[in-house]
Amino acid sequence: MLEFQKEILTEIVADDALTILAPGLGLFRIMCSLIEMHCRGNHLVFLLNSNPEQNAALREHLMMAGILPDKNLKVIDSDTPAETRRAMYTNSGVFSVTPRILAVDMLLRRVPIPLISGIIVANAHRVRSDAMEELILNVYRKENEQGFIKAFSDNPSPFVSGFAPLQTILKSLRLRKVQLWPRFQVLVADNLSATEVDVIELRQPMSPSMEIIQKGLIECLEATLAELRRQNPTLDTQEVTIENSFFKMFDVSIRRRLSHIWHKVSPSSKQLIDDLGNLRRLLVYLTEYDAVSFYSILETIVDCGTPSKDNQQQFSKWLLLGSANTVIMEARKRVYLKPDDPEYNTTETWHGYTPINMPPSLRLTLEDQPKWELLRDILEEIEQDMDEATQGKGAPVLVMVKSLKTCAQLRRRLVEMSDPDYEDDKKPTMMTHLVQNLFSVRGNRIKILNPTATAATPTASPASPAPPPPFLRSSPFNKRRRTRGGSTTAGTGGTRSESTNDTQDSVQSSSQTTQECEAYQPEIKIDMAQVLMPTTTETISSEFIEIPKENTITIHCYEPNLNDQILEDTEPLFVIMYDPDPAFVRSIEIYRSLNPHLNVRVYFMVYENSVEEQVYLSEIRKEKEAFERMIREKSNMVIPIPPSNVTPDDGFVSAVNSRILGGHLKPSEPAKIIVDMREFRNPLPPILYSQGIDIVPCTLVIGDYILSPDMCVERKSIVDLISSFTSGRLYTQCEAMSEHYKIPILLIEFDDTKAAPFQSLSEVKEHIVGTDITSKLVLLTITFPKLKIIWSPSQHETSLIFADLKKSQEQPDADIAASIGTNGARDEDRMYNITPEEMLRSMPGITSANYSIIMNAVNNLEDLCKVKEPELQKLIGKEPAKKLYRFIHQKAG
Amino acid sequence: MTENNKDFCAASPLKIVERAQVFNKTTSSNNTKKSYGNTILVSTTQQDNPLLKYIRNVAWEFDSAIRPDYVVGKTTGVLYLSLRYHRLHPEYIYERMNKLANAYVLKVLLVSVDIDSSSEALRELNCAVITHNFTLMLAWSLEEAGRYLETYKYFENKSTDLLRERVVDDYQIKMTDCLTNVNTVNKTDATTLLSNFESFEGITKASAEAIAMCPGFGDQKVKKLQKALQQPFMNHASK
Repeated sequence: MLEFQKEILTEIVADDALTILAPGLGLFRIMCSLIEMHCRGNHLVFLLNSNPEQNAALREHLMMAGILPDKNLKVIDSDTPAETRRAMYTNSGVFSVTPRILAVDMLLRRVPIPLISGIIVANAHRVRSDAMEELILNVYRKENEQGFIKAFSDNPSPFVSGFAPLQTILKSLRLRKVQLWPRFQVLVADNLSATEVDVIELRQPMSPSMEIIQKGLIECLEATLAELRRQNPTLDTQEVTIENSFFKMFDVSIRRRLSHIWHKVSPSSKQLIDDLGNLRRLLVYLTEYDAVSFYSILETIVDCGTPSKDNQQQFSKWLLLGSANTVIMEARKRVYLKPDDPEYNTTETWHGYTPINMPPSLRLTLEDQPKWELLRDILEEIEQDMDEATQGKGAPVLVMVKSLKTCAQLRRRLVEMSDPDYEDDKKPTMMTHLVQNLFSVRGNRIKILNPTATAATPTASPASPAPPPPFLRSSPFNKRRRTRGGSTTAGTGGTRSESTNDTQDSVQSSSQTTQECEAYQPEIKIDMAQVLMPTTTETISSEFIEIPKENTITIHCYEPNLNDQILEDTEPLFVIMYDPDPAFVRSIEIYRSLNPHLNVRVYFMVYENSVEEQVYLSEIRKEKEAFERMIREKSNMVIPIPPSNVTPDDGFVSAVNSRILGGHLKPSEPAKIIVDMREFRNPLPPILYSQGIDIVPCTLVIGDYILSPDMCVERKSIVDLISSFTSGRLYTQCEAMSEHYKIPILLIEFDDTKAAPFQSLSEVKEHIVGTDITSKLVLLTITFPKLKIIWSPSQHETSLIFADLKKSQEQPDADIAASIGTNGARDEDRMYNITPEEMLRSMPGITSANYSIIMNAVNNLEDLCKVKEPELQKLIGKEPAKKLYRFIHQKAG
Repeated sequence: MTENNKDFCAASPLKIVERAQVFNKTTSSNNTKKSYGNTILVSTTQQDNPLLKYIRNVAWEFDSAIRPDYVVGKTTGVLYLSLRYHRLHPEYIYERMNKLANAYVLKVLLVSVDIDSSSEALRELNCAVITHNFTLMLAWSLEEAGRYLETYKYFENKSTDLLRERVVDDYQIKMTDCLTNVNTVNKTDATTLLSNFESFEGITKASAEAIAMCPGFGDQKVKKLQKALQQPFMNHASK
């Protein structure tokens, strides 16, 4: 560890604080050391918010550090049964647990709260106010004032958006101190500048067509942004800029900003936000993917955004721009040329190669990514310099890339490039495989997106061969099977009409052209995964040969937690950063400072004047600004001392009323609300808790909150309300509530008291429309006259209303509430996994009446696919089973 | 009664044609029979309520005998409250609600939110209506309030089909809906998946590597998708 890292650790151990480090400064190592300390000895420590990768890495690290397996970090997830959890907690140790589970366990007293030694919050930038973490820490502090709370983050930028963000998060974390460790901190800067790193920065120009594509995409992005701003004048224009739009969080943050009025956002604005995301991704893919994959995803996005017969309104506006056409055409030209392209006659087809399922009139161009050539040059240079530097011994080379995909792409590409027969056109290469896949997948996609066209023209292709062999299924994993089509298939390939390719060029004409291209059927399926990932099978031979470290070129993905580990394991003398990454630059600096004897040389590759470069630079700038802002906020923030345990005699004083029998005290139970487990994703339970209401987590079949034996509340935000009206789920829920409770309540949460939540004034239509949300609400109250509606402008307000309502009511009973609507038998500790459940419920044939039958009978979605139709019929009846079975097994198109 | 209407018409400068229509309807139903038929009964106490001019799609008539402010169905009575009024006379509405205690199956309190800081008043009303067995409806404009009244009458005998689960039978839309339940999977991704693996079954059987090869699928997305497919619906269901 470097001096500054030791310093950080000392400070962390000494005092409870939120520690924010610049990315790449080795936060993970520091956390490891902290956790290691607690693994030795008898502590009960909880680690919150860590992701699965971090858990795995932590466990491995601790094992290496000599922690015995039974003392190691234990990961608790929803698969761990409650009783096991209780036993584990009693035995103490360090646990990584999701906030939801810990909150539930603490509320149900499965955790001996007074015995907790401390809570560590990792990835603190993800903590929001009123989140589960806050609830946990509140429950914890209520009974345990001795234990520590330590929070970490190495992502500074989220801490600067909003009003007094640092202060807010400290309040949520019940901390009073923040430690900031930017890269420009004196100690850090001193430590790292002690040794110089030899960096060669290579700014590779993009190919001309890439430049054209990038320019076109940015134009589309600008136009889309302008349109979005025009349609939504309320959006903060300061944040909606082209530079910000390059960042991943951009469309997410716009969505969040509009979330409270999401139902009022017009469909075309929603489409624009989707488009923004797509365009941003395309810009990233332009440099990340190879030409063929890029064209493939571009085609998919274009096809999905094109207005079709069934869907006239929803289409991507940017496709109508001239630059969009340029982008699509240029992207295609990187893959193949058509006879009417001007370059057609002057270009030889790629190595004279024509994939079997491509029309022979096309000419492949298959442009290489410019960085590939550069990488090869660098590797050659390294090879020459290596002898000099190491006296012929050789040295490990580390190539760092952004994603697994690039990793696979480069591995394959490097092998091909080093192959002496590389220029031999007979050999299938990565690119030709990709091209073949492009054509076959395109056929499928056209069928999926235009099912009507398929149905209308089945006779157009009388000679169409039988459905293609199922993709990926028949080939055993350990055998590479190259299904290169024989001569028989080559003949039919030619019959495909040329117009397929026109589809992508002129967007507007797509619906006609797809009709014609139905004659085309994909014949060849190639196991793409095996082609591009030759790893697992080829490298395992019958005998193990140790490959000396010195001769290896390792290609690795950036992994924020493991960067240091990677560097230490490979001990490279040469590092090539194929994709720019600010955090890794610092990891190298640390590695260099730790190993001053190694003369590391770093090649830093970036496309000149590209979005990639822009994003890299903005990222560094934003981080610096974030730290500067935080330092400013830290210097003048005011953090109130949290009230140490709201005095319990508060309740006592108000309960003693001299008018009743001269101050006779009637012992009253504390207010209690039963909350459905699923509601623990929402901020309401923590807010209720902070109101002093006891919340009892429970799996409820009916309702979300049970206030009293008579009162059952179903909570809906406006967006939920609309969607559950459309799906009809609300009707079923209200039906069930009315049946089992005296006072069924629908809680509608909206965001703003000043404006109508459902529609703006101008939108009240001339006539009564049945599909309006207000109309449905009226009908609902007519249908269920017992149903009460609570309108709440915020969740804080909801908690106050709940508290008021409960005053005159008896306390509910958790066991009774849980058993209502279950028909008796019920496993009380069951946790539902929401995503699979939602997926199941969105399938045809599944209704709110029968989905639980399926969930009880079948383990997961994968198994559901294996269930035969007759068995399904037994479960849910003939018609639904048929629908469901067809949905799952039907071939698209 | 007709006089009231006339006065009302003369007082309001709104579209005359529409007014005339309403007027005609009112009188025609008056001619046939005064009943709970097709008209909203309006208490005479409401005659100065500007809300009345927004009841356009359903006919209405004054009735001095009814206890609630509006009767919008055989068993549905509505009390109307403006928050501005409530602020001045907070006791008024309780009195009214108490008087209606045992009448009508569905008792609606229609509140016009016409003040800026309404949360406190709303909190109080939210609780009050539940103890008084009323159903609260909020309207942010007179237009909206009028629309609620109209709709109550209009839907008096409407079947509940509008509210029930409906079946959309489009494979493509359904499949996209289903797949996009997975966080981070978007429409484009759904299409990519389907064109690569052909069916839902195909997607569940695809290996992680194969999915990762699809353009647009990063490591995280693959993990999320596969987790959703392989995760059991319920934990320890069969242990």
